[in-house]
Amino acid sequence: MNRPKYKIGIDIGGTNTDVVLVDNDSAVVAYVKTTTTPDVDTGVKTALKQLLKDVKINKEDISGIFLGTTQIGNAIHQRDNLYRVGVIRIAGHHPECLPSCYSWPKDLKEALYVDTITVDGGFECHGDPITPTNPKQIKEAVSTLLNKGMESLAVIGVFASLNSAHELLVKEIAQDIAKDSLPISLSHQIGGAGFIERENSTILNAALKQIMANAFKSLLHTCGDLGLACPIWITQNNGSILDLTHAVEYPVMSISAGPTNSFIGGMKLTQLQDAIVIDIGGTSTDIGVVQRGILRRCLNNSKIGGVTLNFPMPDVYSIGLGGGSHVHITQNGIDIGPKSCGNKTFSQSISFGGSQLTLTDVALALGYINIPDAKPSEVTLSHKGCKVAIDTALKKIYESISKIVPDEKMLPIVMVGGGATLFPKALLDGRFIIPPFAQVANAYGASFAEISATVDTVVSLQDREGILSALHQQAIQLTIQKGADFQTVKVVDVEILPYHYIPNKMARVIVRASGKQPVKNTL
Amino acid sequence: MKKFTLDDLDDLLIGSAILGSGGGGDPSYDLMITQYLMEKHVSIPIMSISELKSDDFVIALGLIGAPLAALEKITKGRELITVLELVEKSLKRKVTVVMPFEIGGRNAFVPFMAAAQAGLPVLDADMMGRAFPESQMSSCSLYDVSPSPAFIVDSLNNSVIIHAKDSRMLEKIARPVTVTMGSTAAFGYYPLEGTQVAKKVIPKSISKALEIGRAHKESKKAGKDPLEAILHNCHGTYIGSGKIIDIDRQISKGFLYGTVMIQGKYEKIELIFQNEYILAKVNDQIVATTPDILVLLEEETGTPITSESVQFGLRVNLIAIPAPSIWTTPKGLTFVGPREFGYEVDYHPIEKRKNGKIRETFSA
Repeated sequence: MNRPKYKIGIDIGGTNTDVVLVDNDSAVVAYVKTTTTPDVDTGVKTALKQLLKDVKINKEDISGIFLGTTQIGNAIHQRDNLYRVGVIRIAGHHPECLPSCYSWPKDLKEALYVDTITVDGGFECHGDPITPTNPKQIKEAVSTLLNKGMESLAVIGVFASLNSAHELLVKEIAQDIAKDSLPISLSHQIGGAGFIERENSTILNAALKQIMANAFKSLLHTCGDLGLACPIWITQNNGSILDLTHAVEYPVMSISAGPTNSFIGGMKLTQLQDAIVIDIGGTSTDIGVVQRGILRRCLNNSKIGGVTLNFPMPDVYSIGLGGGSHVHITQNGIDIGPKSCGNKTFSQSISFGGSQLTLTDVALALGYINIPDAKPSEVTLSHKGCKVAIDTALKKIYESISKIVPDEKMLPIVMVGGGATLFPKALLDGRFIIPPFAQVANAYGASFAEISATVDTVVSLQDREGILSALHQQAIQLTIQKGADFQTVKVVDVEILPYHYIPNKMARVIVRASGKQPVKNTL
Repeated sequence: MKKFTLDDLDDLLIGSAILGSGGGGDPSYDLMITQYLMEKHVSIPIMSISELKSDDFVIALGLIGAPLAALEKITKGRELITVLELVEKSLKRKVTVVMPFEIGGRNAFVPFMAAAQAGLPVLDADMMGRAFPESQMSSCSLYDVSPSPAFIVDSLNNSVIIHAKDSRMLEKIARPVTVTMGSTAAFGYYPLEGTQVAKKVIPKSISKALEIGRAHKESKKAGKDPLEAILHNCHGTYIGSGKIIDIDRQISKGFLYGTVMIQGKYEKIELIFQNEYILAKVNDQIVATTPDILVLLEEETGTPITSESVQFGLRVNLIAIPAPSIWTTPKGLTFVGPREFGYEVDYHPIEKRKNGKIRETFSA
């Protein structure tokens, strides 16, 4: 049997779709960069087609396609492409003073929120129901929300991580009414500590199912059409991968996958274990820190789009600065972004016949970069003005770096992403490294993802050894079920957060197991 | 009378967290609930002790139970109104002023939740001056005020009125009651006549918390490190800085026990907690203990970190703030001194400790 020799890494960014072919020695064999299309799929097809044309390899030798994307995060940031979400809270004590989406940015809430109905049920920390459930009441709630325009349902029960029965009941009743046409998200399958944070994650998950339905369901067909029968994996926030079916169910798990992949890619391209990685894209620049080979994450208070989620997310510092950023001349000087032309940079920028002055224009005018068909002579900003613009952009980057690494240690700074070449080496201090293939670091990083599963639950630690061992096994089994090579699966992360003042030694336990992608094609 | 407005909420959050000495629970939901309730009554009067009248009737309010249970089974707010109604029914007196039982942590917000719903003023005082894990560690307990009757109400409107012979017994009875109620409930303790209040409570607690919060906010606005502002404002002592390299947490008898190890440039700092931070050692020498207030601040943002949420790898500053004076008396120490937490050492006020590794004490 042939041992597969290649992996394909894909990154679907706001502006560009990058595809990379990586061999068994982790070397980049070939890559293609193309513009991200509105339907996502066409861009991916174009890039894959080109790649397969450029390299003479056997399609059976490709073991998997690993895909990361900022599309999901972008849907939130741009308040676009989101389902209208109805919320059912299962909380028999009916708390009325902390409504859903209470401290959300108003425009995000308006873009996706329909209404919340609270029904009886939910659990106390000691396992008893708060009140009995009322199926009639649940039925009415679902119908009311549907009448108000709900397209996707989010269900959150008190202590659902302890006992999922009530959430499953709501799902059953909702499916009875709406048949298969209503996407349903249950909080106990999504996680996050604290009712509100879990509600936030579940609501976002429900809203994001639209972009998954539109953009990613057709991926399977696209790959099939091109003769690629290998599994398709979608990278998650924690750097591991999810199969396409699961990824479509839990888009919230992939929100920050884009930046995770570029940080891992930047680290792998340079072989550095400790570094700051900066990914300069079309619209935003993401900054992360890698220490001892591990990407820094935030556990509590992880936020996305201004909403607190509380599950482990990569610690990313983002600023609105990229190749397509608008350059404005103000009274006080020159301002960059946060508005950007995004994936329309190569039509709306002045050098490409448009009317918007962008950072790309400035870099072209100064001769820092060269793009075929570009006409930088059309840029009217003076040479001096262009230099100020670049200086301003660089200053923003330095400021951001000092915000996230208050260390005296001068960590190397790895620059990746399409915008890495905007700044010539001469302007960057000795710490900066731009590795070869920096422009496709995120697609490259995606191909390294391992398969992992996380068990995040609330249990009693009375029989500490017994319960922890059981949870370890559960995480390992789930990882194997997801397709990992069973010989490589092991528990990589255990977090125990005891609850005090609660009897029975209750604690939240998070166990993550991870394993390597199967070497043989298991399909 | 001063007014408490929506703009004061963030200042109260920081100030109460600092006075919380690492305990007091996660106040994020309590802030949002208070904000929601205050949206209709935009300001709440804060009454100073001198403004109390002889016919005023005051009660101390708070939340009892596991903070983590309250993060799932969210406080309804209405429980507090039921407490006030119960007081009126059983004592035939209407409460005219509410006050916080504990200024440290999330309980600082609770009287404002009640005040917003009931249209009452909040007294600028509390009964701990900081946070402590048990209710007998309170000023009324120290001054032998009878704890009876005490009122506990849950969000399903179950209620219990407790008549206990002393405050330690009140705490012992209240705990299993709270557990049965799902480990989260509202309480009203120590109803007091207007004339009695002054001698039994710690004055100006809310003002103090707000002042600390404002100092923190102003220094951040000016781009400065809030550490200096807090040391100055609280007459605090800087103990050390470093990175968190180890955390050991255990639940025992319903409390969160543990140790945080911090690696500084030249020193090793050990911070021991029992919900609140109780004792600090630098290179194995004890430098600060309860009842002085130990505060762990995140280096980058100056945000106080609780014993529940401390994480590996965080860069932190550790400081100590002098205890409220009622606790450093010989009698006070029998309630909250190191021996009450199981440490056979004497209390030495942080201002008086001489240790070459501690930097200069800040004074006004």
